[in-house]
Amino acid sequence: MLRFVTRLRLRLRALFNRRHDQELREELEFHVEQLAEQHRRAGLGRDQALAAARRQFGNLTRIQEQSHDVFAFRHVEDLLKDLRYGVRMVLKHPGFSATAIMVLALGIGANSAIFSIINAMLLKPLPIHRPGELVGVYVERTTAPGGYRGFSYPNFHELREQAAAFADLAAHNLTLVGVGDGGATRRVFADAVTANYFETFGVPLALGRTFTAAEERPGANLPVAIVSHDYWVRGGRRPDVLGETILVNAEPLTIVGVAAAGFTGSSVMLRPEVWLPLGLYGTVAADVVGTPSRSLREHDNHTLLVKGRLGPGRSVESVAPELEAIAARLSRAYPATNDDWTLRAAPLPRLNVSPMPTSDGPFAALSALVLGMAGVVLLIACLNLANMLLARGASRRREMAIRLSLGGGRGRVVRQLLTEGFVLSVGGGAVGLVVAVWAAGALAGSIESVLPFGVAVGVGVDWRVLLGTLGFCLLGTLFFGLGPAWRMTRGDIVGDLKQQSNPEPRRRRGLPAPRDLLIVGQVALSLALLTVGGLFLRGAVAASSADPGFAFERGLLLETDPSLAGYDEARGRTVYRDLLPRLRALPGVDAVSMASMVPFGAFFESRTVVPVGGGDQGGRSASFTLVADDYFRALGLSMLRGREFTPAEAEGGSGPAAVIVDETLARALWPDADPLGRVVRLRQGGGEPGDVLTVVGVAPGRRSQMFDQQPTPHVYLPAGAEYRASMNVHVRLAEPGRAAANAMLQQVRQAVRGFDARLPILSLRTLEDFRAASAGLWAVQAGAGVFSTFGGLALFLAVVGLYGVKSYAVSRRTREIGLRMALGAGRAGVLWLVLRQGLVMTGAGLLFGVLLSVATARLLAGLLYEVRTFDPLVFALAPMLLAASVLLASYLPARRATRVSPMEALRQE
Amino acid sequence: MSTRSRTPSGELLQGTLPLLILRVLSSGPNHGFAIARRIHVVSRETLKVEEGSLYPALHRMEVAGWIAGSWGTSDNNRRVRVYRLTPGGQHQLGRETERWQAIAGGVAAVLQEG
Repeated sequence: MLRFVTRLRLRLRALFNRRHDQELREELEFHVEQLAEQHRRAGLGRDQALAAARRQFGNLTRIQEQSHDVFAFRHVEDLLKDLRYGVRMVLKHPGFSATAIMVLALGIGANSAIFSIINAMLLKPLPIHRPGELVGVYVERTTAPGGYRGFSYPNFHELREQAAAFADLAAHNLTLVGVGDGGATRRVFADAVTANYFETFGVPLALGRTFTAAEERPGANLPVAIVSHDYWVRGGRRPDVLGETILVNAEPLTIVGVAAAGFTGSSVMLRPEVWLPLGLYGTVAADVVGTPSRSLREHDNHTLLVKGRLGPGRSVESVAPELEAIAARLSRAYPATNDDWTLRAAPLPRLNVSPMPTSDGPFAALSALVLGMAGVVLLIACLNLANMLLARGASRRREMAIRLSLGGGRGRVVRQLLTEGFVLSVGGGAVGLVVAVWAAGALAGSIESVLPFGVAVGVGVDWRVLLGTLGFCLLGTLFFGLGPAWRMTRGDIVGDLKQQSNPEPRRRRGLPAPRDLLIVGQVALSLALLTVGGLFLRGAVAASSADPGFAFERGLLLETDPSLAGYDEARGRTVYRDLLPRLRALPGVDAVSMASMVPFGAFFESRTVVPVGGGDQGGRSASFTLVADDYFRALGLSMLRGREFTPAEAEGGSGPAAVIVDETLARALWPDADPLGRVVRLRQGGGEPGDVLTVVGVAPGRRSQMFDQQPTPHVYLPAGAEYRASMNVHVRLAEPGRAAANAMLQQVRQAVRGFDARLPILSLRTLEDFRAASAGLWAVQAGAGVFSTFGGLALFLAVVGLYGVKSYAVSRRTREIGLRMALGAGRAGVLWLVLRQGLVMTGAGLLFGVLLSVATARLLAGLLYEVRTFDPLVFALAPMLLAASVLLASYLPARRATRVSPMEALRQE
Repeated sequence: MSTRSRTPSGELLQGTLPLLILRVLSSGPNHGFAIARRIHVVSRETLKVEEGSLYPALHRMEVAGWIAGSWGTSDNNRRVRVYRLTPGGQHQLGRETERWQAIAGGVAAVLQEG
């Protein structure tokens, strides 16, 4: 290290210090003098002695240069020289440079934008101490690998006591809560955590203290909370925030701490605003879906997620035996709940919070794909620029020839040209980065606005993004610079020096010129991107009108959650029982009902439906929804067989238990029999099957999620069967139309306010607006936005590039054209003359482009939304659009050629 | 052209110059001319150091950190660049000496037996 510093110091001195050269000289002169002294002593005269000494010593300057090279970063010196020259050249041709920088800015900007998102999601380290040591601990079913459940608190407790391989083990339960904000209630993420949660992550609080063991104890119910750094900053960074209260689900909690800036736990996107001690679970905090919380002490309440810090020298693999041993002990001690379950550790994903070990791999693969597409945009920009450089290269032949003839090595001149290109790249990169930051910020902002709770994507420029952008600049420089530089430094020095008017290098007939190949490549790549953009746009259009099996029009949706107002289950049931009739009484309302899930919404539950006697005994997994009476009518559907739930069933507690299945599930369970009157049981996760239920109706099939290809199996239970605090109230209007909907939104809002002002209206909008703001639609539209932007950029670049090259070609052929016109060629003839050139290449480009499009479309088929991979409309329109644009780009310069005045053209030279 | 070899140890005979320089400096700091003289004299005038290669070698060794140069005064009161051995150079001297002896021994053995 020290030696490295010495070396660096010596070299820097040589690089910047002119005196260094003098000192070298002085040292050598001294030697020569000593030699001369020797010769004089041997009897030579003064001058003779000196001359002999010099002869003996050899070329002083050469030795000095050799020594200089030893010290100096020769390459750095050259580079600095080249950079200075490059900047001069760039400034000397402002028009060319501006075009080049713009072209590069688009190419590099597209890449930097995508890269900054990838950076935020996958690369930027979370504020966690030694994240590599932090792992997830999961509970896996031994009988069916791949089946997972959360931890029960008793299981977690024993794991924490027994596991020696972990330095620390923490449990938490992510949930949504209502935070009082003035008079309103905001829904935010909260995390109920163990006392050692923050210690396990190794992230000290910004202020205050973490939770105590007493606060963690299940059922402890000590009203304390830790707030996020953002919450504290929004409140004005007051130090006396500690001791203040925060209303969480209408419960006043004392703030005892402020989390560190940026701390989110292990997830990149989900940002809890408040952390609660586990002891509040069951009273203040419930589960994400709003199931009434059962006590954490119960052995079969598998609700916790566990994260552990590996002990020194431990790895995910090396803790496996210990975890298995603990699992075996647990299963001996609690056979009822722990038979068939084992424990395993796995690396924590950044993008998911789940009881199942997941990997960020799929997202990484997707990112690579998108970055690849952005890379194609850069490639097109580079081809474009290479063409511009080649065109300009012709006019720089003389300069190159002089350099080469004066003894500049070819490598040296190529390096100089590349440096010049790099200067352009850096210019483009700087402009591109500004565009990228803006675009990525807009994209991130749009996802944050779609999800109604604390989600944030921290896209921004950090050193990784800067480095990435620099990388794109370098890559670009090599792509567009190397070919032209190589070509420009080749060839006939003497001819170039004379600069006779034979500008085009002679080439063998039949071989396409590099310039033509560049056009073929550009057109082909552009067409591929344009096609992909078109396919994604088609998908977005399809998605924006997608329906789950019923029309969204005439529907309003009210999301509410009495638990956020602090209401317990009994009070909540009363709220819903009384609220629905109130809304039904409003004039203009056709039907009102409610459900635990909304089609195309953000949350889903599923249960396994097991038929009792006859039918598929293994059971089928189905989307599970709790619904009130009149539900299907409120969606504008009618039952295929049987009936809906009765008001009495919907309220719960009376008569034999009823269940509704949809046709998809019915067909799967009883392919040949009448489902009505059949008996089933529902099983949740790894639990035991529940009560016997009788099928009373068959509903039309539908899709739960936007990305379902087919209708999926659904099972419906009366809302009263299980209480959910968070419900979605459906209101169906008698009248269609936006005006009626708007008026009704007002009325519903007033009705709810009048009914109970404390009841939070989490959202109230038309079903169409709900779909428009859904994450699924966002994903499809964002994809369409990104890919159609790539397509648009590609098209633009191709047109600009072709226009530039054509204009240049025309300007070089002015004399020829003038001559032809003087000899009687007509305008049409001249037009054709210019258009003809490159037409074959454009055609070839389009042909390759179609092939490339097919390949790309196949590659991306999995990402497309309800569009055929080879959608005929897109595959017809994209080439036509590109062909038309290319034609226009050629036509404009060609038309200019027809206006050449023969006299002037001939006078030109 | 810039010189590619960063370490003074290279081919057998070329590589001996740094070894000789290190050895001379191990008996005390000295300037370039004196180093060349001393090698010439001590080797009973069989070895002659090319001036053209002496200084680049010295400078390479300085960059490598084996010797350190500083400006001093000569016997006749002239400013002169004097080199001394660094601890790294001392270490290198040991290694190079071993290497040289191994090679010399090997060559001698082949000459005798072959």
